[in-house]
Amino acid sequence: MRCPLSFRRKLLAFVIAGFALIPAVHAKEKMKTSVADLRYGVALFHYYQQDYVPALSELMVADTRNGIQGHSDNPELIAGGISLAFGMQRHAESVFTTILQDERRPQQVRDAAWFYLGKLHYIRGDFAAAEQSFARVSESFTPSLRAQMQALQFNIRIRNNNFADLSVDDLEELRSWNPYALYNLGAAHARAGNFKSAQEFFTELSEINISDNPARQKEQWALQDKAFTALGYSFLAEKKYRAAIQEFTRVRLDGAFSNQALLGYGWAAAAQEEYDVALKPWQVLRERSLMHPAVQESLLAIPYAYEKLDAQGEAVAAYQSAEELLAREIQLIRDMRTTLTQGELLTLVGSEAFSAVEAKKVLRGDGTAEGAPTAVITDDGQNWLKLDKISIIKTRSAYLSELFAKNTFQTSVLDLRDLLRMQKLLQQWQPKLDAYRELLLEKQASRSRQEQQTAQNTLIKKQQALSAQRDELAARIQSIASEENYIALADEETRALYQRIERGEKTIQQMKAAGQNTIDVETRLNMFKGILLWRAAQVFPANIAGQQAELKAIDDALANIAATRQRIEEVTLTSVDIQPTIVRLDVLRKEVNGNLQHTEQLIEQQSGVLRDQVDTQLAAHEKRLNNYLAQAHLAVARLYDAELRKQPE
Amino acid sequence: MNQPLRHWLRLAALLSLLSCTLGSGGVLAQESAGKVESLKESVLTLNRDLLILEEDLLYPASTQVAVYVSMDLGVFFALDAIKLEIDNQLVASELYTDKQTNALFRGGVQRLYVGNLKAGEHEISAFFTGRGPQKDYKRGAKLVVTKGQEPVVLELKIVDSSAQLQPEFEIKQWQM
Repeated sequence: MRCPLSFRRKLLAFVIAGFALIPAVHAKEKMKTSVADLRYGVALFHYYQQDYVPALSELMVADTRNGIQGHSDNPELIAGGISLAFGMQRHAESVFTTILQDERRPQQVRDAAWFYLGKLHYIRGDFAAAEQSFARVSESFTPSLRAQMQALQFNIRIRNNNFADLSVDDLEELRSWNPYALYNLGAAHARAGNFKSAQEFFTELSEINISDNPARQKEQWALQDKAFTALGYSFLAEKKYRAAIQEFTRVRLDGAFSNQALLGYGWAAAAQEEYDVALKPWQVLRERSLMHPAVQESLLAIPYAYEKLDAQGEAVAAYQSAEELLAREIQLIRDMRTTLTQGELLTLVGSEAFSAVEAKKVLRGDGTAEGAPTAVITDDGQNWLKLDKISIIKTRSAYLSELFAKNTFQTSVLDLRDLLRMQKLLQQWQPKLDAYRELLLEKQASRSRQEQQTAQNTLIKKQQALSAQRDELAARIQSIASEENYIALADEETRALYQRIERGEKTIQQMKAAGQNTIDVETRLNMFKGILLWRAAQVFPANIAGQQAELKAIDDALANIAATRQRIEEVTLTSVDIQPTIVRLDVLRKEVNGNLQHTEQLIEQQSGVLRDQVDTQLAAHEKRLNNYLAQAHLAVARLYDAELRKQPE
Repeated sequence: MNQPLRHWLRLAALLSLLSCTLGSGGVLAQESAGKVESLKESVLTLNRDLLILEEDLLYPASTQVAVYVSMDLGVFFALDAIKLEIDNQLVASELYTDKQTNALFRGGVQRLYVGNLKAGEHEISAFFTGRGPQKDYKRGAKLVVTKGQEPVVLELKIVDSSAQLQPEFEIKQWQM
């Protein structure tokens, strides 16, 4: 049987209460909604809805950008607190350690950091380190939190077997933690065999004033029931049967401890050989669900009492009825073991969470209706800090409730749930990143089309002009060369003189037509013409080479334009600013895929662990029921044998 | 049922009732927890980088407009819905769950809308409906903003009207 109000529960409630204080610490300084940095408010918005991933992501993005301004140490404390709630103990530890390394931090902040660090060590079972951290918390630390811390310190003393000198009076300062401490110390003494001391603590607990708050009231009643039951068993161990019965009768019949109390009541009566009295509580028990171990035990306890009352017929009938019921129950467990596969558990943990009220409705009934789930996931703020406060997974099956209440099992479920959330987050990024990549490629293509077009237009114009110039020059060179037109490439003075000679030749033609004598003039003109042509012919090769060099320069310019166009094309295709983003995106895409693969591996492992825990638990129940069945078989055989022996041969 | 069995059962019940392990978990459980925490750290860091990339890509500062919702009320106000319009176009609407309203009431701030706006003047309108302690409310507010190169950041604040003791909207523009 588990201890729902165990040390762990207290610890976790302690953590929640402590963490809830963080935003309130500075509440007096400012109105709670006066958010100096909106990103801090957004982180709080997610945190208050238990959406830890977006809350932490908001703080991390803000930290990468330029940090959160105007909230002093609160963002760090809240980051540490959310990390704790999300089961990231190492990260939380590093946050609190960083805060503590800066001695300029206010005492209140340092106290809170030491407090959380202490709790972290406590969760990990490093009690010496937890004690050291708690010892650093100052006297001025918030009284309600100090009370919780002291409750934890008492637990450490119990753990270290150093609680013998603690008295009821020592627990008075623990405020709301007092009932839990009373129970824990009573249980510690009972485990040590100090029943008298145990009874002092349990009695004190049974006399506490019950709160008016309905939720708290329910918890305190349950705690008192547990104390009465424990008291009853401690008296039973001391053979004080009357006192034991008195305590067992104080347990509420509809409470969670009534089965054990009814069973204990029967034993106390049987121990006094009042078997008819013992039968009464056991028969009440016998009518309850057979999933409870106490009810299973009553199946054998009832015929045992009949035997003692010499009602052999009733005893045989009761044993036979027990055989039938146990065989049916064993089959039910076998069916459950077959049904609750790894995949089924994975589906269950990954399914839509129910509120506590809805979960209660869903799990109402015996589960025989078609489609009735064995267990459901609940969503009332369950996190790593509330591990024992509220179960993340609830079941209708008493066979599993003991397992489901264990810290290790809740941890496995929370691990798996968190892994499934990580998986979902990564899966959501995959199509988004594909879309963003497409978007970037489209943007790149669009941009390169535009840039290419602009560049091409300019270059084409330039290219066309140069090409025309080149063609003209090439044609001229071709013409001059073929006609050996020396004068065309001669210097300016030579060309001017040659023009004068050409004009002179025209004049001579006119004079000849007029019948004048031109021989002398014509001779001199021809001589001058010859001299000019000779001079031009001398420089012609050099001049034509010059023209060809000019043509080559134009060809080179055209080649340069072509090369420039090629370069521009290349540059626009690789888009200097888009390309790095695509590279960045591709790196992240790869990381998403890698992390997703790793997450899926861990999900497989974790769901396997869960399945093993469930199966081991069910196997243990099956084994115990088989043991009862074997005892029932033996008892029937024994009674028949005894009856046969009585008959005359 | 014989006597030793009965004794065993009694002892088992007593011990199970009193056993309260502080359970720090086994070595394997701690190893598994370590692996899960490492993965969480890795995924969170990756998620941060992805969010930054997404914002850079989709909402560059030069065109970004972001609208937040907050509450600053003395008495709990059950916010039902908010509608947000930019230049008479509905850009965001939200139906609030109890969880969200409670988170707002406790001091959380909701990022209602992130989008892009061209440079120039724009009219921002917001309307909310909800249930107060006495009656239902429907309120609205408008603000004209000029979009330049810096992001436009607006906070829709649901506050107590000091004159009428009723919830009302205020739009605050944050200087970035």
